[in-house]
Amino acid sequence: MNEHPSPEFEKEIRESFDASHANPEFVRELRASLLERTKMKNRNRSFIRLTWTVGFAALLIIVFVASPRVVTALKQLFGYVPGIGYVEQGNFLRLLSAPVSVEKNGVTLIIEKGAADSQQTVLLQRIEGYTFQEDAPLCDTPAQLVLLDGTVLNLISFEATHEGDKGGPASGSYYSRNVFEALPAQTLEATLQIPCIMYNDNYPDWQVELQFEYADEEQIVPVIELPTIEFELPSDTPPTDLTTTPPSSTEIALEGFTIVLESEASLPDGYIITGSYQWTDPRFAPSSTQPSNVQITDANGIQVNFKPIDPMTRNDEPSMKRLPFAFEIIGKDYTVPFTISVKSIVVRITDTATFQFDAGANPQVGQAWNVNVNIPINEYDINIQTIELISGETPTQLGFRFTVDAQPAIAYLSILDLNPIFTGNGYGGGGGGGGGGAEVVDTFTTSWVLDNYSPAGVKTFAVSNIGIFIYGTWQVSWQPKQ
Amino acid sequence: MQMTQITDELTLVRAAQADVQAFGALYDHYVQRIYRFCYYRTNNKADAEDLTAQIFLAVLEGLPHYRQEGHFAGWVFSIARNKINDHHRRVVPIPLDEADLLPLNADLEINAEISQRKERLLNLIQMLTDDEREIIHLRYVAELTFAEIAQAMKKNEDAVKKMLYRLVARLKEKLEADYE
Repeated sequence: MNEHPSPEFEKEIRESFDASHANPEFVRELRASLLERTKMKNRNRSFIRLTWTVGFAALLIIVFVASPRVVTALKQLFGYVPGIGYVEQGNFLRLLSAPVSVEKNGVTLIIEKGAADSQQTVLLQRIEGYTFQEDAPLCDTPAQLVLLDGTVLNLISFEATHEGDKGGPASGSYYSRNVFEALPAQTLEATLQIPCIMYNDNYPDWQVELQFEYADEEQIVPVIELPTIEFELPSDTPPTDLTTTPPSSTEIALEGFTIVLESEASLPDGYIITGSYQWTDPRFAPSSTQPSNVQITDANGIQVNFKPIDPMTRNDEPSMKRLPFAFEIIGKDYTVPFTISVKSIVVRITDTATFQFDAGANPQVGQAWNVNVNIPINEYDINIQTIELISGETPTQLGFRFTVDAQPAIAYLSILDLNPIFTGNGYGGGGGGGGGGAEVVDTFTTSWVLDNYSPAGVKTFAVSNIGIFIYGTWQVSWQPKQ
Repeated sequence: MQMTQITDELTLVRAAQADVQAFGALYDHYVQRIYRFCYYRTNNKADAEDLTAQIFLAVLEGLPHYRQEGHFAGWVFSIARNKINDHHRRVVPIPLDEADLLPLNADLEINAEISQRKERLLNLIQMLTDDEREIIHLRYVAELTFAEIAQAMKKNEDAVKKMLYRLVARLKEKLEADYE
C-alpha cells in the first residue's frame, strides 16, 4: 500500500525545482512569432479555399493544416504518394494493402489509402451515405490506432473535405486525411478505432482492421532532386504585374533574398515543386520572415492553379535564414517553363517605441479617448487614433483596444502595457498583437485584456513586434523534367 | 481580435480553436510550465528554448483538431514528451557525473543546510531512471494532475499514482537516511 506523500515533502520537491524560468525576452519573441504564424495560417487557408457552388454543388471545405514534417536530415530520400504526400522511402515504408470498408446503418466508412513511415501514419478516409443532422448529439472523442499489443497511437491532425450532392452539404461524400503517430517499424497490422463518425453520437463505435504491406518502388512517385539554381532580383525591381501596385516603398530591404528550388515530382495530374526561401540579412530570422504574395505563372503568363502543401522538411535551425516551401501545381495543361514569383515579404522589425497615456482615476468600460498620438518608427508613421477601455469575458478582465493607422501600411504590431498593475491576485502576462494581417490596410485595431488589470492612471505603452511589407519581385524559372 | 488571460482553460481552448489569434492566452498560461519541463528534462537552457518553440508550434498546428474534453494539459504535455524524446534520440546523452546540476536560488544559499538538502534531493532525482524522472517532472515541475499525467504518458491513472507515490517515498527515505 502506497501512502500519499506528505505535503511538506512534496513542497520540498517543488522548491528544489524552482530555479529556472524562461527568459522574458525569449517568451515575448516566441509569442510574437507564434501569433504572427497564426496570421499566416489564416492567409494560407484563404489562399487555398475552393469554391462552393449550388446546383451540381461540389462543396469543398478545406481545413488546411500546415504541419511541416520534422526531419533532421535534408538528404533523406523521400518519395511522393499521391493523396498521401511525402513519405520516407526505405525498408520500413508500408502502404495499406487494399481499401477497407465497414458499413453500419446505411453509412459506409472506407479507408482508401494508408501509408506508414518512421515519422507518421497517414490514412485517407471516405464516408458515404451519411446525412448531416443539425441537432445531433456531439461526440468529439478523437480516433486512434490500436496495435496488437495494446499500444495506442494518437491522432495528430486531420484535413476534411466534403463533396455534396445537389442538396448542398447535407449528404454526399465526406473525405478526411488523418495523421496518426508513427506505426512502429515492422508493424503491419493495426485497428482504427473511431468512437463516432462526423462528430455525431448517433453513429458510435466504428472499428476498422488495417493491414499494411511493405511498399514497392513503383507505388511511389520519385522525387527528383534539382540542381541548385538561384535567381534573385533586387527588391526595388518594379513588379511585373502592373495590376498590383505596392502602396509605398520603404528604406527597409531584405538582403540576399533568393528562391532556391530543391526537388520536383511529376504527378498524373500535376506537379510538386519544393524549395526554400533563403536570405543573408542577419536582421531577420525565419520566425520573423514570411513571403506574403506568391504567384506561379506559365510561359504564356497565365496564372497557374496551385496550393501550398506540407513541405518535406522544416527549418529546425533558427540561425539558418531558410524557409522551406512546397507547392502542388494542379493540372498539366500549361506551357512550361513556370515562373515562381514572390511579390511581397513580411518581416518583423525590432524597432520599438513607447508612449504615455493617462486614463484618469476612474476610467469606465466603453470609455474611449481620441489620443491621436504620432509614433514615427523607422520609415513608418504610426498613429494611435483612439484608445478604448474594454472588458473580457468576466468583469475582472480589463484592457485596452487601440485603433491604429500606419503609413505605409504594416502587417501587424503589438501595443503592450510595460508595467501593468494588478489588483487582488491578478497575474501579469502579455496580450496584444493584431494588425492588417492578410489584407494591406492602413487602419486596424489591436486589443488585449488581463485578469484583475487596473486601467487607472498613467500608463506607459510599448509599440513593438512590428511586421512590415517589403515589396519587389523575386522570381525563379523552372522547367519540369517530366 | 482580443487577447484574454486564462481563467477557464477549456473556454480558452475553445476560444483559441475558434480564433487562432486567441492562442496567445493559452501560450501565456503554458509557456513557463512547458519551458521549465523542457529545462529539467534537458538540463540545457538553449535546448529548452528550442524545444519550447517546437512544442508550441505543434500545439498551434494541432489545436484546430483537438477535440477531447478536459485534460488539455495532458494533450499539450504529450506533445512535449514526444518532442523531448525526439530531442534525446538526436542528442548524445550527458553522463550523469558530467551533467550540470541545476543551480540553486540565491535565497536558498543563505541557509547552507537547506541548500545542501535541496542539492542532495536534486542529486537523488538525477539518479532516477529517465521514466521516473519524467513522472517527477510532470508532477512537480509541470504541475499536472494524475489524470493529466496519465493522458500525457498514455498510462492508467492509478498506475501513475502508485508509481509516483512509490518514487516519492523512496526519495524521502534516501534523503532522510543521509541526514540521520
